[in-house]
Amino acid sequence: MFWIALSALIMSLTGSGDDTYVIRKFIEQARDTVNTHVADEARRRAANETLDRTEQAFEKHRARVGKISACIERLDRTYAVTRADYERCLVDVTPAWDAAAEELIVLDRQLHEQVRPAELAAIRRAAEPH
Amino acid sequence: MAVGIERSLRILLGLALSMGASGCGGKEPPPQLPTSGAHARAASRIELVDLVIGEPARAARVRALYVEIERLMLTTKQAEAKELRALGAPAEPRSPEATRAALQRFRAAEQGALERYVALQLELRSATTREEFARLDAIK
Repeated sequence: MFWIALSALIMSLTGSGDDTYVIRKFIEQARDTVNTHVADEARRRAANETLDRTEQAFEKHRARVGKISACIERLDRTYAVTRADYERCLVDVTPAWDAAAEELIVLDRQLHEQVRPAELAAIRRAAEPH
Repeated sequence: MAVGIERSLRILLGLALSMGASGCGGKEPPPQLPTSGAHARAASRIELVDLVIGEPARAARVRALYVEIERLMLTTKQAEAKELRALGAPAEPRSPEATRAALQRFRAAEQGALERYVALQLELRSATTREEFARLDAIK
């Protein structure tokens, strides 16, 4: 799942794009490719469910990180602030990223189990930005 | 894949750098990470400090603080991009431990930058009056 998550994270780094839109598009492309290349119905359904969970996990993570950003911006615009005020904003940075990493690891492993290497390669090619 | 990610990174980081250098960005999308938002806010103010703060010495100090914030965030983005490039390398699949370690380095870069950022923000308050701060804050 890394090629999807990484592409979105790259957008997050610069703030130069809507990464939730990007991840949605990538998931849609990956789903189309799963439906085209994974012939076995049970594996196809399982792979699509994993893609759904990936999209949900990413959006949940973005919402969580967005709250940190909003908290910092609110303090940046306030003259009378203390270090403790900022520290309260930062308290979720580590838990948010650690939770996202664990979720990504699990979902990535699941997708590797659900699709064959050739199918995975096709999904990956389709999900890459052109 | 790695080539694709590197190309995307170069394009996007180049865009971010050029936006930072020009001090304006037209219609910008909402910041994606706390460090991205902090970078954008600092970069937009660097060239305008002298219009708000009349005392040259204090203006120079405040400008230096904004420049330091901008550099801090760009350095952080470079460190984070390095981890993403490593994750996107063709070695996939990798062990959960290796993935976890790379993402922890990414998170540590973000966390470290934000901690330094807090110190710089507090210095900004000590270098500006409430009115000057409000005028600088009014800059997009």
